[in-house]
Amino acid sequence: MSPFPNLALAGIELTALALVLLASVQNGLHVVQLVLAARALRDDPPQPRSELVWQRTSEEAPSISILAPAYNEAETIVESVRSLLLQQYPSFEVVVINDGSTDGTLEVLRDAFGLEQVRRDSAATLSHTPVRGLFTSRLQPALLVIDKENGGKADALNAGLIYTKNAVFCSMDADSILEPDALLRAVQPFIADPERVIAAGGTVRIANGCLVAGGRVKRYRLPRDPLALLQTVEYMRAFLMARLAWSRVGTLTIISGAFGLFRRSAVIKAGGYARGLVGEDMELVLRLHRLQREQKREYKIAFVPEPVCWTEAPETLKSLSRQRRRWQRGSLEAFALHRTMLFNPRYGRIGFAGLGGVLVVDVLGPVAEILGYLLLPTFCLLGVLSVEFLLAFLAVSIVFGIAVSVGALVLEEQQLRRASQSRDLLVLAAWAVVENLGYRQLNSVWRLMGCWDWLRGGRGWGEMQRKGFARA
Amino acid sequence: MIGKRCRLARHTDFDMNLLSFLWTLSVSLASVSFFGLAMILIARPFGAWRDRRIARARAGILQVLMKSSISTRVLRRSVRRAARLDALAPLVLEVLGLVRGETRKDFVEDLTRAGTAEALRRRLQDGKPQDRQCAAEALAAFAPGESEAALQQAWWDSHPDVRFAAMRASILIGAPPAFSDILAIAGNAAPRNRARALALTKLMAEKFPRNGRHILVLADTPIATRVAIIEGLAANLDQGAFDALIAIADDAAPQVRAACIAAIAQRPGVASDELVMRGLGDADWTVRASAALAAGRVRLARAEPELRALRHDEHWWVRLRASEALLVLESADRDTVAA
Repeated sequence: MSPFPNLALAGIELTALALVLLASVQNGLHVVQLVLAARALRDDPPQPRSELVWQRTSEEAPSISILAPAYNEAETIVESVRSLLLQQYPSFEVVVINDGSTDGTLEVLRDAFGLEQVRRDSAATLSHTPVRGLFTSRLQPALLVIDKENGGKADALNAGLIYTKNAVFCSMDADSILEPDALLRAVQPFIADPERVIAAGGTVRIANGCLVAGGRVKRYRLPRDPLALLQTVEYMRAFLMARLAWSRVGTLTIISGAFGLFRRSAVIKAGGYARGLVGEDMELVLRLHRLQREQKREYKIAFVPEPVCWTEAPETLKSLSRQRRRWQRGSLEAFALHRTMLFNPRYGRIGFAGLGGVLVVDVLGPVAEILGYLLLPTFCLLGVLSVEFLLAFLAVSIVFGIAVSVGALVLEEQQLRRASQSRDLLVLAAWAVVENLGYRQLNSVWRLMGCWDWLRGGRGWGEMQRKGFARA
Repeated sequence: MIGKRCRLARHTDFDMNLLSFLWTLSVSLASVSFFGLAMILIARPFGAWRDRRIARARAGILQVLMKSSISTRVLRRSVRRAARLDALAPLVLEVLGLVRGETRKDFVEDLTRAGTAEALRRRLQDGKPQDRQCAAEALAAFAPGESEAALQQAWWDSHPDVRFAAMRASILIGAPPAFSDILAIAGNAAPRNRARALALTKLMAEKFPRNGRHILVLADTPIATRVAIIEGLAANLDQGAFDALIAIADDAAPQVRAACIAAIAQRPGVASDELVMRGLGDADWTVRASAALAAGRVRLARAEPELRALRHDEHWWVRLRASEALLVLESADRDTVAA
């Protein structure tokens, strides 16, 4: 008998086992996340009423600068700024950074708020494109507008960062909506442990379908669009389960660019946001971890599940595919920049669990998943793998996905109770099932395309077609 | 051919066991998911029913505020209902946050008659940590009486949130823990609790300034604690506190010097002006920034040359504070000319 069949057989078996092993590790990670998130919510349950949070901590709350980069947002910018100015927080300023908009964003702001040009000394040096002018408003003393040449989100945040003076800053997207008490809730880790906490993230939720009035989400409703519904399930799992769990064990590797609080001095010492990356949010968090570890400082990067930032999710396959490819590229960029931390004892658990998790989920995950979908049926057709095994693996994989989503739904219902009707819970549960029958696979394809974009050195953010929030 | 020899295509005992395990795992996971979903759906109506009951209890308590005719019996029933639902303490805290002055006093009296303090004391002993914390916070609004002992007992609660809330309530009702106890916590507390211990120290110095002054001069008091005491004393700066702060204004620790300037500048006078002027030339930037801020607040016109020089200070915060102070002085100057 020739050695070839045996060798091929061994290779096929090894490949199949490697894929099964990787899928098991991924599923195991999800179970660990679910348990950790449940424990975090049990030990530190969310405060139900914001009035109570205010009574307890408003006196100790540090002043915050909200940095909102805006690019071509003339249509929505005034309402967004008004909504930000309505935050229920003792002391804050809103810094809008007009990143070289070409649609008259600055003029709209100037008319709405009566902006006047001022001079202000910058408090630090970070790289960014030239600033054309600074503007304040007599009508709204808490508003500062920075007009600069276009340079991207990271560049705009750097420009905002050097003109703010508060110890803590909040980075967000100008087109997102913060809940009125979001800052007060998100700042809690900074109040509880001011010496160690350098960053804190909050939950981002899908606002498609919600009723928005006066820059606030007045009524929570599930989206009607299937794609937005699928993303609602995804976001719930990502924020309430994964991020909460990783923050619990000190290995949180990302704070969403849509909403996060940072200690200004720590970010400036780290050199600010890295320009020219699409994953600047993840890269900054990894760099903060790295620097604190290298300088042997005690630090904490926290996640608070209740402060909510609402965002509009893409409702077309094209926009969603662009977004997912960009996210994947961002993860790979950040991972590649900090790859020396991976499994490096110097960086402790962030090197092992944090970057190890990124390796399994973001780097190997999409490749393995697509390979699995392609190879296992092929092996089956070749008679190498029995149909019974193929079906059993498939069933475990799908049911695991459903169980994890339902677990996140249970956590959400137990602790936060955002869904207003039982029907919403059923709808979300149904979509948690549907998600595994096509959408998950499509997502893996987009992520794989993102890997390819990264390998080719692709840049740029791509455009998203926005429908706008449903207004009251 | 290949298929017959591949482990995953044969049907040996091992394979059959593995297959059976995989299917059992799938069925178990599906059952757990279904069960979880069913539980939250079943729990929903109960949650809604509980919310409605709490809303009714809340309405009953709020009626007292509206001054509508409500008997103690009805109020007592609302209080009991809220207590049974573990909602009394948050409700009392919420409503107390709405009222001030005489209205608050009357409201607390009505609640006391309805047995609220008693119910809160019970909750402080056997509720969940969150409920115990709320109960301790709410008890701060009621007369000391029996609450004093209950709160004292809660200083040693297993949960730090409850301990701090109980100590705070004890200070507010005028039965504070010994300063040394708080200092011990402030000095030894885990980083997560250190800030709260300092906030407690500050409150203690504010409410019991004499004790604070005494601790301030002790050599082994940690710097952060001394700063907290200074900030507490600044809230009610009487002559005794003022003299105590002047005495330590040249302390070796810049944090203490900066805090002293910020506190003392609230009472304009020769001594405080001199201190601010000295601070403007301090070697430490935090002291210079604090002095520049104070110079603006007290509108110290004779500090103008020093403030102008500080606009070119190497540190951004000093430059900012000096510029702000100069703006205040210039506007004060304009006001004088206009007058």
